[in-house]
Amino acid sequence: MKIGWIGFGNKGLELVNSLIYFGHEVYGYNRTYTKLSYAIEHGLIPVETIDELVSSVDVIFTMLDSSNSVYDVYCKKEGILESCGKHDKKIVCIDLTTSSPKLAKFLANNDIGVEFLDAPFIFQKNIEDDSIFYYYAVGGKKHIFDKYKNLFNCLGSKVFYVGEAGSGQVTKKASELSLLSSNLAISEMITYANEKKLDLNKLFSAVNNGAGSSLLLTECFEKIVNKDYKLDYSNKQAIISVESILKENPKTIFALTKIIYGILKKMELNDSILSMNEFYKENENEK
Amino acid sequence: MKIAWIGVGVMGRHMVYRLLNNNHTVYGFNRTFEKLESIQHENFIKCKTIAEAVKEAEVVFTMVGYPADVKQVYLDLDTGILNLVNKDVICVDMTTSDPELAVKLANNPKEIKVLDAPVTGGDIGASNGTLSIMVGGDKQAYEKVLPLFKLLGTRINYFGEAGSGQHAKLANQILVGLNTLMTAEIINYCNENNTDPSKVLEVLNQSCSQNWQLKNNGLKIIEKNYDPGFYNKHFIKDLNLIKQNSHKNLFGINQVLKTYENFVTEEPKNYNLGTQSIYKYFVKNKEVF
Repeated sequence: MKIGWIGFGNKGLELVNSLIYFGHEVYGYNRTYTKLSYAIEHGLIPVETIDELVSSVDVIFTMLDSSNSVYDVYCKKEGILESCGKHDKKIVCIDLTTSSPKLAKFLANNDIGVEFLDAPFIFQKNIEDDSIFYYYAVGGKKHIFDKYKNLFNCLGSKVFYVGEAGSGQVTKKASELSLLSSNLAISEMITYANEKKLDLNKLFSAVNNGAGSSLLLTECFEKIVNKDYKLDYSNKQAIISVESILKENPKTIFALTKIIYGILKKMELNDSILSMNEFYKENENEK
Repeated sequence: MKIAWIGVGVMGRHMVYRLLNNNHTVYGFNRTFEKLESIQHENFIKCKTIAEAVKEAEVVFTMVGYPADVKQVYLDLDTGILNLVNKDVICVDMTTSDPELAVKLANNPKEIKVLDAPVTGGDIGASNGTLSIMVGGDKQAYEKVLPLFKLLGTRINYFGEAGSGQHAKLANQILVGLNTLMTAEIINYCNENNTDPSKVLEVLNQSCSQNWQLKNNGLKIIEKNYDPGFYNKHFIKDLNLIKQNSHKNLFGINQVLKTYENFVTEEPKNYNLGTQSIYKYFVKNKEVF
């Protein structure tokens, strides 16, 4: 199958290589052309405009850094939708960006006849060998998903169809909220335990696998205690995500999401979210 | 061993059975006497007063509802355990209660050893003997009771001085509180965005974002099952204890407390629902708009 790809960050490159490895003919477009050189070595066919990409392929994957970039690539002049209209080409677009549910719905409702699936990736960790998998939560029309489902097998371990357009992005947001609240929970537990001079190893043994447990607790508690804050999820990403949840749902009740947003905003942009417990060490937080 | 057990609720009942099935004799007391009838065992002796229950006991376990009950059970001038037993008896309070009260009980003038040993693991853990038990108080007394703890739980941790078992339990409740409230919040967010929460949970339960509350109470919310595994009234007690005991502003858990308090203030019968019922708070307040 002829596949187009837009977005060549680290993860994008990895997935493009995977598609090529599985025998697909992959065409790539990037605003900065030089970023394509590594993928070209692995067999990527470069194109210079989105227009050229659209006329060459049947499916386009986009994997960008933000909702804004997604909007630009699809909706701006000489973007995907305009090019498809020009060539009267009914291609299928699959957006792997972690983006906004509202934008996904908007794109799916285009009047050009472009089919659109929102399919952000979600992390899954294999505890036995510590490996990280990506899998995909997909929103959009079911029959389009069924037709292109197999492509996801080249991109990760599993794929779930969640529902109508935007549902994939909603699932991703939900996963971020869940992770952030588990993270806040661990931070506040450590803060309380330190104040009461509790042995943290014993505490971990007492609470792990109980009703308050989470995979984050099991996997990262020791790291957090040892100030090893490495995690592939930065405060900056978290802020963007939570901010868009609050903005796009002005009539929805949020209790913890707002608290989490407030704390994230007070942390440094480049901090890992795992360092949230440091926030509680500051004196200003005394009652 | 001869054991007194004060407070035969959902948890206590299972734990008593585990002691009985391991050839211990248990003298049981409960405020509502009828509840003792739920235990049928040849080694179980139903007592009408605390005095009767503790009379021959070597170890006294208590598992009642609130710190005020703990206080009464131990300190009441006529019927309080500490006024009835001598210093050879070891008392173990398994109620989730106030750490300061635990310190006060342990420092009793008669020098009776009182351990604080709250548990987590629910009625299933109580029945299977897989509870996590968090113990504070006199080390030697702890070691004497340890064989009994081992009948009740698989994870038994001694945290040190009196009150530290309670602090450990409250630390656990911080995790429970945040994950429970967020579970309800996430399900509401999904519904508001026309996304089937059961599909979302299926994905999340396999992801790095998985947690116990999402998996268990999330499912209950979707099934509209608000029956108590864990009562709101007890949860609010725990959350208040955390707030009273911490000198820091724990913004997250304080927000959890505030939300639950609003929820039960709106409708007092919510006190007797399970903690997952907080989902109704999100739905109900939406209708206000």
